[in-house]
Amino acid sequence: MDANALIHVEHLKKYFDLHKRGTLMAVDDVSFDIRRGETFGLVGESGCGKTTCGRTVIGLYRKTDGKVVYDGRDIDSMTEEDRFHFKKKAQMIFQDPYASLNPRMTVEDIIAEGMDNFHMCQSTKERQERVYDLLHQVGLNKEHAARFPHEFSGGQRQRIGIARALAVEPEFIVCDEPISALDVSIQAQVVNLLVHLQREKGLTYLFIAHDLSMVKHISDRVGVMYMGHIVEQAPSNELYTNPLHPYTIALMSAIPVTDPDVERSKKVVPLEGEVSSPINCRPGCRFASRCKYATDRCRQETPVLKEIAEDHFVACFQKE
Amino acid sequence: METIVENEEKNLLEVEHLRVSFHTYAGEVQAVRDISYTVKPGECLAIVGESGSGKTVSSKAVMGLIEKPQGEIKEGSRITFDGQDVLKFTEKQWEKFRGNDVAMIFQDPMTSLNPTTKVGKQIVEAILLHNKMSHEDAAKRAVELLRMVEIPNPEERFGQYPYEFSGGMRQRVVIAIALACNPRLMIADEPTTALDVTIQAQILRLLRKIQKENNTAIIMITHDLGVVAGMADKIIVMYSGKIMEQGSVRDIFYHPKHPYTRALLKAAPSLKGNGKEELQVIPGTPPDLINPPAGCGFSTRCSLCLKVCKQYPPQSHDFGEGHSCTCWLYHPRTVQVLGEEKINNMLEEQ
Repeated sequence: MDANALIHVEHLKKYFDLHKRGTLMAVDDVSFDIRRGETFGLVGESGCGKTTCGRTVIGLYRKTDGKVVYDGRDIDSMTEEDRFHFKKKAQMIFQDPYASLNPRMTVEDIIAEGMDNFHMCQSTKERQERVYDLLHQVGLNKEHAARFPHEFSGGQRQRIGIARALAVEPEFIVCDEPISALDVSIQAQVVNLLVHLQREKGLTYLFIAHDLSMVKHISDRVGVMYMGHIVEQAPSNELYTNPLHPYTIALMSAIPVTDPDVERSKKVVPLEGEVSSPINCRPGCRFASRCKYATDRCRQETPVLKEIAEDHFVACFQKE
Repeated sequence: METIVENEEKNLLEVEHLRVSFHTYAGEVQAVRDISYTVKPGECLAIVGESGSGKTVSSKAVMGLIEKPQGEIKEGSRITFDGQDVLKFTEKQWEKFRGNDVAMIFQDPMTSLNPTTKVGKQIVEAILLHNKMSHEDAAKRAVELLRMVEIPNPEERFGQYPYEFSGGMRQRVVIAIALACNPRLMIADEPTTALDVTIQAQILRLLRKIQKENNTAIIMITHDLGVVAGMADKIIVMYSGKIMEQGSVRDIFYHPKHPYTRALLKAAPSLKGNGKEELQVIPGTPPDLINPPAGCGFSTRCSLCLKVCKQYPPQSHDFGEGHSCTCWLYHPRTVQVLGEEKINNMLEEQ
């Protein structure tokens, strides 16, 4: 375990019981550390378990097995007081800014709801002032406080979502695809805001996204997920310049580059087939059915993350 | 020599001075405000822009999918497909035209297929609508189409329902339906936005293959500049219902002229970048098209905005070989007043 880790996740598992159809292994034995003040990115295709992972870490889902340690304290054995503290310090920004704000509440009430729960304001005036201050921090102004969510554009709503997360003075924020529903020019605004807030308040982010170039931009370290496993984990520059796992290599080569000459001459590593079902998985590398290097060993034994270079972990038998 | 040959080739689609408005309770939304472009056979034209810039509406007009009475194609607009004036079509002619000559692929493969009908039947329906052939022959053709879009076990897949297909496979079925009558023009409206990157790469490869083998022209509507870089021959950049800049793929990516195009290219993070430097942002939000700005649509967000930009709409300036840009910075008078050097410096510093 990293001494500087704010969040320590060990062998985290989240299974969903589908009754007669078996068990869906959304997150299967995932371990990582998030250091204080850094951004840890989780990337992968839809259905790989990245959102479930984020939600389980923060406690929105009850985990099946494993350990989540926040600031040195295991969240299972936390005292009532510590748990209260954890709920306040760990917040979340959701993907869909149209669905995550209550359409019948004013922006002021949406932002202040968390502060009310934690009894952070003594008077209505203080509450109002704090809301104005938060709106200002995320680039909106106080006239917006009395309005309803439908009066805002997608980018502005996402800013409201960020203000709501910041309201209770968190240390750790799970950003679950915060920009994927926004236009390119607005995405840059929101990402810059997140980076700016991180510098100012020393926040720690778990940044979940499928847009690999944006994850690269914002993250210090990145974990690549495939069907519930983390297959590779490295500092973001290292991962993008020197990907090792066959899946990461295919994923990187599939990202469209905004340069016609590069885009037309680059070699795309074709990835045939699609992600198979995560229901009732047998042991073995989950990527084996699509991997051209797969051997019998890959199909029978599950590879675990091994440190290949400094801070660069890969779960692949070919790289050992 | 090559350019001369190209010029001789007739345009498949010509859109001239297209203006489309929608009448709402709040007022008239001028979604598309006077755009013109052409598509040649076998060419891929990309229309790039943010949501609400009018890129989808402009191509729906080509398909005759602007619903009256709320939607209105304004007088003076002209759309010609292979010499025919499309806007004068009767409903019967439209029906023949749609699917036969032009086909459309929509963004969301989950909603563009009928969930209660088997996939095979949906393709057969599309074939029989436009061709006189027996049901059996149509079924054979449908299997052939499924094979063409690289669906494994097409015979078996023929009898399955859409829910049994994954997102990428469904989009392949939608493409198969679009191909049913060998259209000469395919309009793909954000065909890969709902898909994962590795699946996106497969679908784009498929579209390129179809374009090459059948000499099908493609109009690709997207906001993803990376997708455009790999696919397009020509690019149109749209903003607030107008064309800001158009040109070949190399013109737009390597010699962008319009401040909006330049800002858009810089706003996308590159994989080469090194950590968390600030992304270039375009401040503000797109203008309201009920009361479009008097001058340039981008003037409210443009860092190089001049006084004239807010008052009068700019004109298009031609840079040769089909590259043109609608911006006051390139107007001869502006160049005369500010000097070319200063304008270049402004663009550099942008």
